[in-house]
Amino acid sequence: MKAKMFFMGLLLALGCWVSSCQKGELDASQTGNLVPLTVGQDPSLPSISVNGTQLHAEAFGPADSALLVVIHGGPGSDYRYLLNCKEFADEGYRVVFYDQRGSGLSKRHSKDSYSIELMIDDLGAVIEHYKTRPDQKVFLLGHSWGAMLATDYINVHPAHINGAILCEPGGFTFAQMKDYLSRSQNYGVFSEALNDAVYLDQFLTGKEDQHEILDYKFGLWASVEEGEDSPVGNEGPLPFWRSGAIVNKALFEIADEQGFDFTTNLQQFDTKILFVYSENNSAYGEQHAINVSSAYHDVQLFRVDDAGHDMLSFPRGWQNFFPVGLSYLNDLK
Amino acid sequence: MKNTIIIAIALLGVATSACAQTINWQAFKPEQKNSLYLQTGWDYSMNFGAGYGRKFDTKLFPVMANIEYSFPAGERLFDDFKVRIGGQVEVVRLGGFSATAKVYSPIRRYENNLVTLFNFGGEFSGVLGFYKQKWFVAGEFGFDKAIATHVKHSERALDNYDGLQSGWYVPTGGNWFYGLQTGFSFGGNDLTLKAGKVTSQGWETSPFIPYFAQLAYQRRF
Repeated sequence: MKAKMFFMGLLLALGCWVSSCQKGELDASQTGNLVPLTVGQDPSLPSISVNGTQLHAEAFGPADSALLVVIHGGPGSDYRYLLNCKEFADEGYRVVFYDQRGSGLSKRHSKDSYSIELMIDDLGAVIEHYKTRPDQKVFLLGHSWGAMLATDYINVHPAHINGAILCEPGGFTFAQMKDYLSRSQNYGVFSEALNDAVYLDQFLTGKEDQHEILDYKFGLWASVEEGEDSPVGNEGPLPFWRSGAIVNKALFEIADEQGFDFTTNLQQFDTKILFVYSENNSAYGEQHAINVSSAYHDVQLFRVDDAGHDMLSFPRGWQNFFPVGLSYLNDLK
Repeated sequence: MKNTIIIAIALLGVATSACAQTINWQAFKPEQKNSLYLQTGWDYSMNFGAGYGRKFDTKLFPVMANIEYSFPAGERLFDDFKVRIGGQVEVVRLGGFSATAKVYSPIRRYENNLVTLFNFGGEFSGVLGFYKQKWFVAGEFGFDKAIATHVKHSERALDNYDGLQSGWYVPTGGNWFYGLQTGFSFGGNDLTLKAGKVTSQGWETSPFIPYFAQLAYQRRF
C-alpha cells in the first residue's frame, strides 16, 4: 500500500508539473527563440550570394583601395568579435567581413556538404565579389581557425595574395593543431569549466538537422573559454551572433579522418607575413609560434602583450596590435 | 490490482538514469528494508551523490523506492545538481536470472555565465542479469528524457542576442544509455560498478563525452 501511494503521488506530482510547464511553452527548434535569424531567414541582414550559398557579409572603406579580408575563427564562430578591424577602413583599406558558410548569420548547410576545399572556394569567391579591378591588392587577416584557412588559401593560390596577418593559428598541419588543442582545451576533470561544458548534455539534445538547438548548445559550450580555468587568457567574454555547431563538427571530423597539411606549397609565397601571438595564452607561447610560422619563407613574429588568444577583440590587445598591423600593411600596400 | 498499478506506472512512467541506484535483489535479507548509498563516477560529468532507498515487499514483486542527490565537480559546487525520485521493480525472477524495471524522475539544474537551466525529466530503463547472493552481472538499457526545461538567460547572453526567449521549453531532447553492471556483496554491504555508453535520442549525435561510469557503496539495514 505504501509503495502504491508513493508511486501514485509521484505520478500526480509529475503530471501537475508537466501541465504547468506546458502553459506558454516554447519550442527550442523555433527560429529566433535561442539563436538569431540567418541571412536566409532575415532579408534585412547584409549578405552576398557566392559559390552556391548566401553569406552574411559587410565591407567598409573605399571600394577601390586594397582589400583586407578578415577571416574569423572556430570553425563556426562569426566576425562579430573581430569588428575592431573596421579601424583599418579609416586608414584607407577596404575591410571585408564575412561569416563563413554555416557560421554566424550565414546560411546553414547539411553536415555532409562541408569540406575544407569548399571553405577555400568560398574565400576565393568573397575576394572576387569585392574586387573592383584585377590589380587590386588583397590582404588576409585571419584569426585562429581563420588564420589556418588563410594559410590554406595561400598554399593553394600563392599568387593571389599580397600579404597576410595570421593571429594564433592552431597549426598548419594536423599534428600542430592537435598539439595546440591538447593544451588549449586541457581542463581538469574536476574543473568548473569542464563541468560547464559537459553537464549540459542532459538538458539539451538535438538531431543533426535541428540546427537551432545544436547551435545554441554549441554557443553555451564555447563560452567555457571565458572561465578562469581557461588557458587562453582572454580579458573577458567575446561577443558573438551564432556558433555554427554543424560546420564545426563537420570540419573537425574531416580533419580527424583525413588530416591536413596546408604547408605543401607555402615556399612559393615569398611575401613577408605578420605572425601574431599573445602574451597571456599559456597554451600557445613563443615556441609554438616559431614552429607554426616556420612554414613561411619570410616571417615577422609579433607578440601582443597584455592580451590572450582573442587579442584583436579587447582594448589592451587591440591597442598593442593595431599600430604593428597597420605598419605591416602599409609597407606592402 | 495493486501490483498491476505499480508495474503500469513503472512501465508507462517517465522513467531511470544511467547512474541511479544499482541493486542486487538477492542480497537483500527479509529484514533489510532500507539502504543508504554513496556513489561517484561520470554521469555527463564527474559527479558525487548520495541516496536513500526503501524496500517494499508486495505480493508479486519487490519494489525499491529511492531519492538521491548528486552534484558535479567544479569550483561552484551548488550551481548544478540533480535530484532523482523514483524506484525500481523486480518484475521477473527465474532462478538466478532477474529483470528489473526502473523509473525515476530527475530534477536538475545547470548554470553558467549565459544561462540557468532547470529541468524536469523522466528516465526509464530495464536491467537484465544473473544474480547470486554475493555477486551479480547485468546489462541495462534505458532512456533519459528532458521533458521540460526552464531557460533563464543572463544579461550577458541578452547583450549578445536580445531576442533570446526565456521560459519553459518542452521538450528539450533526451539520451539513450546502455551498459553493463556488476557488484559484490558482503554482510550488509554492496560495492557496485557500472559503465556504458550514452547517445542522443535520434542516434545521430552524442554527448561531449558519451560514456558513463559509476562506483557505488551501499549499506543495507
